[in-house]
Amino acid sequence: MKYDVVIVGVGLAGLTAGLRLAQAGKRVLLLAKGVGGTHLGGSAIDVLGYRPERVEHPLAELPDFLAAHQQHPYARAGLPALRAAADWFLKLTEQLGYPFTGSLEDNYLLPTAIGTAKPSALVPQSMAAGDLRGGGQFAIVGFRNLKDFFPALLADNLSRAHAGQSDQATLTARAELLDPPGLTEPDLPPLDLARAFDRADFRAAIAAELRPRLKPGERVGFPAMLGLREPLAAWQDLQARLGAPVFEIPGLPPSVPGIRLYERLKNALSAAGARLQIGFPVTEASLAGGQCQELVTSGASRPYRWSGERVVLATGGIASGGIQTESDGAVREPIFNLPLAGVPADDTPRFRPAYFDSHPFSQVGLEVDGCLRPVDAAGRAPIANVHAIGAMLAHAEPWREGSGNGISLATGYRVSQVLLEEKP
Amino acid sequence: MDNLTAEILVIGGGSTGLGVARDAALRGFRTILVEKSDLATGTTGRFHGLLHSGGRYAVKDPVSAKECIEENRVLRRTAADCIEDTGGLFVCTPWDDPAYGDEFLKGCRACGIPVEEISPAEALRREPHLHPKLSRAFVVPDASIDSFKTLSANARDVEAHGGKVLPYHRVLRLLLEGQKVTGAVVQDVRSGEERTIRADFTVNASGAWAGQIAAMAGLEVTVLAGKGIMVAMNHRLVQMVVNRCKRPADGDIIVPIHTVCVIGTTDVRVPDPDEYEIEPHEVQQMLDEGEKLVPGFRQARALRVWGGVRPLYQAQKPSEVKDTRDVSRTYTLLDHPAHDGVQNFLTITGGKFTTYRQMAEVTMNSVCHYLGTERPCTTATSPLPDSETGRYYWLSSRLAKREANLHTDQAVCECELISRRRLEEAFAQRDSTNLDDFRRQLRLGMGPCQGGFCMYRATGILHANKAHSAPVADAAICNFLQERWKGVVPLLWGDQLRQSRLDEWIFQGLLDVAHLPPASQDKVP
Repeated sequence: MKYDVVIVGVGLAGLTAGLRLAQAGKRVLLLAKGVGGTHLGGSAIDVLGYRPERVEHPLAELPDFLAAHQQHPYARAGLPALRAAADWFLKLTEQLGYPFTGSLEDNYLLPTAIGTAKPSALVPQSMAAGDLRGGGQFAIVGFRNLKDFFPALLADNLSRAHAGQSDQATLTARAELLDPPGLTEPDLPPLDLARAFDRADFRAAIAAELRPRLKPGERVGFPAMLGLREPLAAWQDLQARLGAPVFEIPGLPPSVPGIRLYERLKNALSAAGARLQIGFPVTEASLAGGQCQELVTSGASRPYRWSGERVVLATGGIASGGIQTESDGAVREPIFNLPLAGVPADDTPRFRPAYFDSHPFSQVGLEVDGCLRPVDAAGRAPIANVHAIGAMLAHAEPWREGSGNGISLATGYRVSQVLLEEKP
Repeated sequence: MDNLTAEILVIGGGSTGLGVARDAALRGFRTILVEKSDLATGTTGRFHGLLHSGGRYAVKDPVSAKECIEENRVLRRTAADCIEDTGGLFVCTPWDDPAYGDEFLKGCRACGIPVEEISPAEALRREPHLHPKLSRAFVVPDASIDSFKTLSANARDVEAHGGKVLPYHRVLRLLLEGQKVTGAVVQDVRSGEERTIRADFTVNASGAWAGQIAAMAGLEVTVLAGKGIMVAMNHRLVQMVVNRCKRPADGDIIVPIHTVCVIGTTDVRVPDPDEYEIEPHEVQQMLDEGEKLVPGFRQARALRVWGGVRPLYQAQKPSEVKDTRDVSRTYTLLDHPAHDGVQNFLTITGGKFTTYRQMAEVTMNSVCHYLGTERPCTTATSPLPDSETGRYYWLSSRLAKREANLHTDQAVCECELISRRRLEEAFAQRDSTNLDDFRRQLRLGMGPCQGGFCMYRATGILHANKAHSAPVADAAICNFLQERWKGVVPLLWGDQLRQSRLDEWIFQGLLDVAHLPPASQDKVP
């Protein structure tokens, strides 16, 4: 059968585009070699965090930011699409039972697992009480046999970070270490802990041990592992049992909040009639008349061929394999061999000697037109029915800008508008 | 800080210095060793890990070849726990003249190196990834040796025999009484404190830096620095050491060591042993040469690149040396009392890792002569700590150790199988908060993930168990990220670049390490 749209990649960008299109009645197929970036990141939607000074009000600063970065993916998607995407995402996650909160007007300032105060626009509700703006008293809870979360270091850095702030609000942070009841293995897997928090008896035991140790007025931070299947209920229940605001702090991959989001979006896609084919990489594409006719995935027994009126490429950046590099310096987009932008000239270095510097090669990616179709240096789209979204787009530095999921959400949303012929 | 006295002061914490210090301690001398940085940070920790059979020098440099095979036998007896008995092959690829094989055989036999020619088919049976059109192959007793382990065992033995090993102590000046060296003033580079070490005899074992130390006694010693680069690939593409059967040249050897294999090397003279760059064309050259031995070499993931400087002693003026490859790989003991009139001071330099023990023996024999005492050397027969059983380590030794505590201890570093208890012990034993020191000691962060996961954990454990200070912990992680970056920048393509971007995702996207509170990106000494 011929699909209306075939999307390659199931990170936030592909899932966003797929769900909007499926919910609008399009026949949608998602192909992916495996799960995407949702399982790696912290799941917060960072829109604009640094430029390079910390950004407090992203929406207010975006016009100025885009004036200075005219080729940025946000400029291709447009601010109206970003705003509509944010509204859509907040409503969607509410409906899916894993509500996000926040707005593009103000960034939260949330603790990372090492204790940096990081700006994010939209965050899972269960993280919002970690907001460091205005100070407060924080107790950070870790587990002795969990190696991916160090509450003492986190709390020390939070206090330190705040000491450098100009405002007068006070912030105190301290650590509590617990032994998770019943989970006695020396190397506790994060997902086991998350599943344990789905159980009321486990939450009750944790609360019984922790509550007497809490000081009045403290907010309580946990590693983002408070439940996998029913995280909203787990979080609410734990708050009630502790009698204090509880918040989650994302740690190393695998990302429990990302898995929660991914599972819900995937189920919503299936419910909306989309088909997901995950586990087989797209190995080649056949073209005719300047159009993509078919995509080929390598199955276990034989190659499978898929066709769609439109193809949306959402295979991610270098980290995800959407853009590949070779030992002789070659850089390519492996499915369509699309032209790449931002590749430094042969005689200029791709990376700088200092790790935290901005590296020229970081901005490599696909250049797209206003319809998010990949274009060459002359501005022509070599394949008329292929679009590209997400981390594979050129001219962005997601970690330095604090724009990672924001780009995926905005461009994923925007491509759905293009394909549905909605006005931006 | 307290001043110290010793009978023997050794300057330099590489293989030569540790070898001399252990030799002295075993002869019953009160011994102190000082090193300006961590142990094995000069040339010793920066080679490919080859225990020479001598085959490489059998044709061109027979003196060096004989030293190598003698010491190969000694180290197999005394340092077994640091050696993997891989065996070695010399092969003629389609780019090499098969006739050289006859010279090679003759050379090996003349130097006493056991050598056996095997058929190309047999070579390919043993090493299936080798070039299928190789014309000749020779088996020799090459092996791989872990220099960090070897030095650590030497240092432990020095301390077990009452000696002291002081890393991060830089020599500021030598103490001179007339024409006699009576010790040195050293500075703890971490605290800035100075202390005086008085010694009956001082040995300059500072390798490529020997000229700088000798100058403090008013002596001119010319040690050329020959830079070699090495690239570690993320697979054991070969299980034996594989050499090109031709005259020594760039990229002519692949050494399997632990879970990787290392291709080396180059030889470029550099003016300063502390200042050299790794050029992109050098890396490409290694990959091209690798392809000739193992077709498809480029497809493997390159993990790390590093450079080391060979100390090449030269009696000639440096301007007369055209190619550092033509300088002999043998070692030189400079007898300053006899030739320069400077008493109680010797310089030992040149040589190779394989011959470090013999260099130490020769040096301490001379020291004993000058001190007027007869104490026999015992290092040729006394095994290093943990090598007493004579059992070589093997590829899965670390896994076997880890399996013993699989159900009772956390894995902090999954790539290199480092348990939490092991890391905490190392933190407790060592006066350091520099994670790079623990990388060298434990292989922390050396695996394919390049520290992406273990580095946050190690920082958290460092903070909780030892530093108890966020600025120290933050500086440790920032410093480690920078150090690791230095090793991977020239290799950022393919899966290694992917990994690097994933790590960036973790450190910058998720942890936002770049925006840690100020004063945390300071360098740790």
